[in-house]
Amino acid sequence: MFNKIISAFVYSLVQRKTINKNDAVRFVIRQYNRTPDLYRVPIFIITIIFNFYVLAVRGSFFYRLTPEQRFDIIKKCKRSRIGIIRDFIKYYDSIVMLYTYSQSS
Amino acid sequence: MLRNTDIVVIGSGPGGSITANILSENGFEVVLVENGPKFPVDSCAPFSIEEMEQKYKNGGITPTFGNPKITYVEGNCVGGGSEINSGLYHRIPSDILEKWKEIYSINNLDEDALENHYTVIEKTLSITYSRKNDFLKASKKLVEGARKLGWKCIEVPRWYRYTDSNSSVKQSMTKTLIPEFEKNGGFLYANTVVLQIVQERKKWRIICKDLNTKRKTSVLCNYVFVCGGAIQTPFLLRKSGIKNNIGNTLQIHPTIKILAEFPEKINSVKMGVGVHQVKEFAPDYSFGCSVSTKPYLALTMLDYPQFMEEIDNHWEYMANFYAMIVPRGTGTIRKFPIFKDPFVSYKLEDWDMRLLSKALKNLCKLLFHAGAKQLFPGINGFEPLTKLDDINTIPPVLPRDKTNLMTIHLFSSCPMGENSRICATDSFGRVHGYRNLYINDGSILPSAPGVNPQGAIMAIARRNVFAFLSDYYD
Repeated sequence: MFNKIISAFVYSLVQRKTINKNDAVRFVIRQYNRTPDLYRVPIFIITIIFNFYVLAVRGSFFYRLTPEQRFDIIKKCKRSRIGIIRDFIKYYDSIVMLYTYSQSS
Repeated sequence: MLRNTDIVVIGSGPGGSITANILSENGFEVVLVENGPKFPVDSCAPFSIEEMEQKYKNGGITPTFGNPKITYVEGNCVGGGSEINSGLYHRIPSDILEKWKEIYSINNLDEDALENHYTVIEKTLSITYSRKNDFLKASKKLVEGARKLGWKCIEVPRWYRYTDSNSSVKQSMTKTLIPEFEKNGGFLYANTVVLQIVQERKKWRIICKDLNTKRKTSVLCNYVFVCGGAIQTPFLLRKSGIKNNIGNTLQIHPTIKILAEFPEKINSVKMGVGVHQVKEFAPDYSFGCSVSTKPYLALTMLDYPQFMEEIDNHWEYMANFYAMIVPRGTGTIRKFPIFKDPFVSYKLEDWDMRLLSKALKNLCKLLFHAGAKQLFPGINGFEPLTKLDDINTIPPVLPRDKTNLMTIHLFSSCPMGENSRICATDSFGRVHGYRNLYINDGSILPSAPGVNPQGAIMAIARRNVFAFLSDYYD
């Protein structure tokens, strides 16, 4: 399930057609595996909770939503007043952006 | 497997490399243990994601715990931080040396005592100023803004050697001291993590694990120099039960970035790091030009998602700049059960958040005077600044939960000095209470020096090794 959620994040955050999204998913997973364990464990837990939260409010797991629906949720999370939600999205967003713009340069 | 040797040096960054090199030159059998792999300095493009994967600890992104969180970067390869930093060289400002001597009671630490060490290091690393036509356009913008405001702006020399073909090569540790160390007969164990150090009668047992073979090995030695950097050194010592004033006083240079857009092109694919720094407000804070490749611009722009497309369309008109402060707040490094990575927390004081705001405002002022048309400070939910008056919208104390801070300078987690109430080591890096255990890296700098620290780390490390040799032969 965890890899499916990461994949859903990447497919929603990478907007460009020229970027190989599967490579981007692999990069995000590699970076996640390199994250210090004191952060890796909470990130894993929050990612799973996030998926169930989306199920509760949208009636479907995050990774089963359409890319547009997922993008909409991510956009709202980025503007959240709760710091931990912004940080959680930013974690994935920053890795994806790093990868995307490295490929385009 | 057990090996016997005279000295083990743990960590091959600037402190460890110079320590291992001098000791091997003086006839000791030295084993230099490095957690990361060995790559040549030009194995990948500087500041690329390949470099992050090859040479950075944790893939390049490690946040501290605390409010605000501060992301930091550590090298994880042979040569340590010298392989990935921008190569800017400073001597330690004299007022900082005076402060260190007074507060921490450090013997024989002044500019005269360090002069010879600086001279040798500057020769070894080919410290040189850039050729005038090599100045980056973004760096020149700093000079222009400072000139208009009458602020002090300096060019910082770097450890780069110019070749005949007009290109330059960074004189990192893998280019300079590591090859010399190996030529002297030193043994380099790359990709080897030190799990613990254990005292056995008069010797030290260094318990390591080879990350290639996954096998544990031990090295028995007469002396240990721990040089793993300001995070890994106290972490290893605390894991080994050595805790007196270890890992309690981490200091950093908290840095806030700002993306500036100019009406003319200032960026290019080959743009490196600017060599100018504005020192008008030093030692409190300084400004400089930061890495400005497209991925790094995109990271700064993360707080402004609606402007992300600007990076694609106008990246050549943009560059990252930074304001870096000397804080009052400090951090700690701890080992928690179960987890194998260090728990690093940092607490910035309100005074620091106020200083960051002041620094950010003055950096914005300078960039507008240099002709910037739009500024994007690293604060979440903030509007871009388009004119000088907009600076007033920056709050007098930066919001802790929305300000993005980072640092590449870490030190002071095991300060040196005779004041054993606050210091981990004596004036020359020997851990208080131990005869043959030394620390010789950025950890022992007593506080944040306010300048790029590699020059300071190397000069003090060289001084300490010679003090060790003098003691040894006595």
